[in-house]
Amino acid sequence: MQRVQAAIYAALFVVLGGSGALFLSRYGTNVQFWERFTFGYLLLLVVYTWYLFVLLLAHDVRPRRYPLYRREKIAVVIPCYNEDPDLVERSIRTAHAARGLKQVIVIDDGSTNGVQERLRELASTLSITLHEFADNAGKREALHYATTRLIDDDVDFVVTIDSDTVLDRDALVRVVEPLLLPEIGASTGNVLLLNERQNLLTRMVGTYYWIGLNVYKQAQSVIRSVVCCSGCLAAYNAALLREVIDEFAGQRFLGEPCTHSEDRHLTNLVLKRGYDVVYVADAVSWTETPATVRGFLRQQRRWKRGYIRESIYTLTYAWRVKRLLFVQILCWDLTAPFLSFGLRLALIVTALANPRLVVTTILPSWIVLMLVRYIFVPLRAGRKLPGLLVYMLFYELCMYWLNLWALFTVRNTSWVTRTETAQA
Amino acid sequence: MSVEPRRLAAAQRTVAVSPRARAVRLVSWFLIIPTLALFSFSVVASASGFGAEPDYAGAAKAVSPPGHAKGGAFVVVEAKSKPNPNPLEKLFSHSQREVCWITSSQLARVSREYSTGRMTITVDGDPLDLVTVDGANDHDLRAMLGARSMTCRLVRVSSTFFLPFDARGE
Repeated sequence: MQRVQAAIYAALFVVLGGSGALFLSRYGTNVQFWERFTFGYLLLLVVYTWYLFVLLLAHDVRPRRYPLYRREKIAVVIPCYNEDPDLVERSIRTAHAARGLKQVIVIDDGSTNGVQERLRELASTLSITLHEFADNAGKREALHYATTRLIDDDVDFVVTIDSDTVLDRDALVRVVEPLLLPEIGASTGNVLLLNERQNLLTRMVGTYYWIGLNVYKQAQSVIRSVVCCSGCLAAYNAALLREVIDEFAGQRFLGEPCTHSEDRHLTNLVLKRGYDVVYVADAVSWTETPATVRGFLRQQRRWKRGYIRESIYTLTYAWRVKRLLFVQILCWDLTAPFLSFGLRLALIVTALANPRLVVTTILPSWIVLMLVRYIFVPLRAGRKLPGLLVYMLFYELCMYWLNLWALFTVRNTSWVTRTETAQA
Repeated sequence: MSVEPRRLAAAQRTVAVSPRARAVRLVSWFLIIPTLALFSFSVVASASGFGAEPDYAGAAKAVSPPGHAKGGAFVVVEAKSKPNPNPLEKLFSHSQREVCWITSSQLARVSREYSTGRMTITVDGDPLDLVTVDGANDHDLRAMLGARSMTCRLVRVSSTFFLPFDARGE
């Protein structure tokens, strides 16, 4: 397994280098390679966009039907590390008040900011199970401990939420309803931002979340292969979670223990066993996003490293259990950022050599075409349009390049944001 | 939103918005699909140089030797290609022609072998005559004139080379 992952990881460098080399080849004697490559990339983009839209159309034409919740027991696990005491209290209270027959478990992961006091107060007044680690062991270990030692035997479903997540009253029952179907192993809910209106960045992130959930995750849900059950609100079949939890806790990538993107890996382990994973748009939760560019980029660095690592992991098993997902990850999700490296270089060269062309031609046509590609934003979430425009530019200027940074540092185990912005 | 009323109707819940909102969603596809079709066409067409003019002037400049004006001619020939190229290759081929520089005596030999024509283009505001050679490609000309005796350059068709549409919402 480790060798296969290493081979795929190495192949990504080949893709990146190949794209750059093809760009440079346009300055050689023959520009045809570069032109054909560009054309091929754009063709791939169009095919992928159609694929995405067809899935979304399928969802609109025939939405999924799930059985109704019938008071199956739900364990809600809330790992907490150096969280703001007010935020974690709000999170626990909403989880406690949410509909459903439930056991609420809070694990303090060796916090050093004194949040334990608040947790103990809450444990004395609310019916929650509190466990405190003496030292910080990581969210993975917290989930492992909760699953193996704290969850009641009669629990049917396990819902994990972040310590700053606020749950809608119906969120728990909504998110577990798909799990009443035996073929579905996990599900994830909708995430909205509490601080979306704080500034331009948070508005942009609100759009970014909306697209991620209502376009990409929704499309993945149609083929029942959502690749990431968000840490904000994820539900798992309890028996399945118990089956995978040891493998989850012991994950290594290229010899290094993995410490972040645990939500994506847990989802991978469910998919790997042939179970379906779906997205439930009306299981609603709220969270906060970093309100500074620095904080947001730190969070993204961690996410993108996890994205690459887990996409590689997906490729190691998906051909056996989810072929469409395999093709999607191989042909676009994992490779596109590196395949388009040469095109980015071309843009930079063009911008330096002919800035007028960028302003008068490339930028306007790019904005128009991006609006078409993300037509769901103006049509279904019109108020997020300004955020979309900012997101499009921000992606090109900053977020795209994080993919390259993440590729080179994917083995890095640091949490990046954890000590500075535990809320991220 | 509560599930209770629906529970009475059926033991299933449809993950969707209200019927009216769902109808609006479905109708919106009448806008989305044509827009996507237009998007697809414009992306692919711009990348493949649809409707763009071949850049004969650029190719002529590239092969023009210093002080060429009196000593030879620019000829336009088909670009060398494999016999019976597959449809995909044809689709990807933006340009089928090359401009070559040959001397006056070589032009005379070419004219005896092939039927020729003339086309005039504008280079830096001045007219420039090109000789079109029917039925010959650069490979044929090299075989006839000697491989080292001429310089050719593919006639480029302007194309869009940067359209970075892969922003993802992970």
